[in-house]
Parts: sequence; structure tokens; C-alpha cells
Amino acid sequence: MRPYLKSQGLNVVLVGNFNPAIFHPSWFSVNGLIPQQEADKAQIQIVHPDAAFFAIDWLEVNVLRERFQIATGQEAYFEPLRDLVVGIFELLSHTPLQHMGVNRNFHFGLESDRKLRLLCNRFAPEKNWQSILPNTDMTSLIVRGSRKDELPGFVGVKIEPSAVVRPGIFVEVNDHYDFTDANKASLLSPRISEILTNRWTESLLRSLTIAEAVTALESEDASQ
Amino acid sequence: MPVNSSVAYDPSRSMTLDPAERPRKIALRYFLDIPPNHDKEGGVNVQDPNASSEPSSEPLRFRSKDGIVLFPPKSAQAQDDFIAIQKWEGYVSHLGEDTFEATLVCLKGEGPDQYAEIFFEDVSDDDRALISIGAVFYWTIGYLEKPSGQRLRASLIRFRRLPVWTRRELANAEIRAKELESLFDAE
Repeated sequence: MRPYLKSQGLNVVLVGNFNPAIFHPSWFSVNGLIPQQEADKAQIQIVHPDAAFFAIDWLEVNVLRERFQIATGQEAYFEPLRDLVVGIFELLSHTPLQHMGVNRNFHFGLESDRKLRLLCNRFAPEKNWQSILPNTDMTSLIVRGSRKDELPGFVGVKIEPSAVVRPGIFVEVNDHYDFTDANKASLLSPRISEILTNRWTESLLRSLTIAEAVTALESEDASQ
Repeated sequence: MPVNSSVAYDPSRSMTLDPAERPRKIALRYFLDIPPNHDKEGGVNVQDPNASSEPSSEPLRFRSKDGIVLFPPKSAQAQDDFIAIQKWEGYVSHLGEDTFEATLVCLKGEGPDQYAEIFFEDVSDDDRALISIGAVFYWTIGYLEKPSGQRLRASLIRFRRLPVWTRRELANAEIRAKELESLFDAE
């Protein structure tokens, strides 16, 4: 049995300076970003000058003073999530921003625990650890690589045994952008919009390609 | 470090402090064990802090100072899973009496651009008001998998929502348009 995709999610994280108190579901609906019905049904945990957390059935919004994060676990809503981020920062166009991460994660099911162990062993070979630490298991691995485009940032990959599907493997791809001209806050909203609009498909495809390449190592292993 | 952990803000807790020691404004951060926004290498971590396959294995990010671990909320990812088989981005091209026509560009799956005729009633009440010529929507077909494992065939249409124009923005746009108009008239 080949690895199969059990579930996936996507989130966009921005690091900068935010005013969490703004991020109330009613602010979203009044500005036409989400339907009124969704705002009415939102599960608000807190909306406070220091933090805002609320969820609707397809979306989680978590904002701290220095961090904004918006996430969905449903593939059907990936594009609406992107539009939401673009819409929010069109409205809050002078928000100082330093970094952005477009993070897509995957949970792949594997045939057996043995396959999972073999796959993890390809990334963190047990034999390399034998003289250092006996009976090792890979619990998490993070790798960073260069971007292939001209934008400042990097691409990060996190690999872990999945807790959602067992046996399975979790892969998260972090498409990271740096905004080096952070002082020019007014320029950043269009930049975010441009990146999210024009690089979106490429970013999602790259994430999927990386995740599938990671799981393909399981197949290669099996064929050996 | 799940960012989405529940934060039970308990104002009464501040009343238990000695008034002399009580700060004028107790920031929420006081109640939260919010780690610095940097990873171990000193770089800023813009990855999802929830991005772990084992959320329960990590210490809860938000806990009260007296050690009470706050119950994390239900995650969006723990709810129904929508497994998309095919996804399109659609552009409304014609409005009929009960239906609208649209051009569909494939986002997932294979196939060329297509035309579709879609019943208004296939669109949610909230989104129906957004149906107009040129409006963009996303159409996904796939399976809705319940937490029980049961799968249902599902189709989801969601119209793009962008910020509404304010009166001031519209007024400014009108002024700008008149400026440009007079510029062209002058030539």
C-alpha cells in the first residue's frame, strides 16, 4: 500500500505589530470579509488588547500583539483563507510587518509501523546514533532550504510521525518570506497581496511536491 | 505550543493579589506563558506553532501562573475533514432566472477550463447576494469525512469576499476620476 493523504491544513502566519482587539468576528463581517451568519456563530475565546482567538467552522484566528495567525483544516477553504488575509491587510494597510509564513501541513497514512520506522530512519539513521544514544526514535526533524525564486526568505520542512493517522507521517512545509524594508509599512500590504495572489498556486504546489517526495522515500525504501 | 489553547481570562484572579503589588493594568500576558517569538537559532519562527503531529506532547503554551493548565479548544482540524477531489475557480459570466453561468478554471484535478450552469439554490444564502457578473467563486467537490469515519459526497461553493468600499473611499475615487476626466478634457 502506498502512503495515502489522510488530512491536510493550511495557515498563514504574519509577524509584525498588531492590535488584537480589532480582530473580532463582527469586524470581519461588517467589512464584508466573512458572512454575517459565520460571525454570529463564531466561537470567541477572547478578544482583548493583548490577544484575540476565535474560530468558525472552517477557520481559526489567533492574534497576539506581535503575531497574526489564521488557519484552516479544510482544503476547500484554502483560497477563501488567502482572500481573507489579503482582505484584512487591505483594510489594515499600514500594519508594520516583518515576516510571513504560508504553511501547509499533511498527514499521510503508512502501511505499517515498520514502514514508518524505515522512513524515519532515512532522515535520522539509527546507526549514526548508536554510539551516542541507544534505541533512538525520530520524533521531529526540521530542515531549511533556499527559495528558488528571488524573494528573501527560505523554505522549511518539518517531518514527524503523525499523531492523527497511525501509522503515519506528518509533513509541514513553511514557505517563509522576509520583508526587509519593514520601515515602509505602507508598501507591505500590496506586497502581501501580490505574494499571496501571484505565488499562491506555486507555493501550494511546492508544498505538495515536497510532501510527496518525502513520502516517496518510503516507496523507494520498500522497493529496495 | 498550541496558540489556539483556550485562554480563560479570570478578572477575579487579579483581586487576589495584594493591592500594593497589583499592577495598574494586568496585561493578559501576565496570565499566559507566552514564549518569545524566536526559535532556538535566534530566527523568527513564522511557522505554525501548532504545526506538530503531536500537539498533546508539547507543553501547553497558555497556562495560568498558578499552574492550572487551561483546556485547549476544539481545533478546526479536529472537525469534519473535507477531502477535495476537484477544485475550480469560477467567474460568473451570465445571470439567468434560476441559474448563473460561469467559466471554471481548474485548481485541483485535471481538465481544461469549462463552462458550468449552476443553480442559485446551490449557493448558500449568505453568498447568494454576491452573485454578479464577474464575481469570483471557488467550487470544490469531494468527500466530507465525519469524525466517525463516515464519508458523504459533498459540493461546496464559496464566493470571494473582499473588503467593502467605504463612503470615503468611494468619494475619493470619484474625486480622482473627475480629476482624470478633466485632465483628458483639457487635452
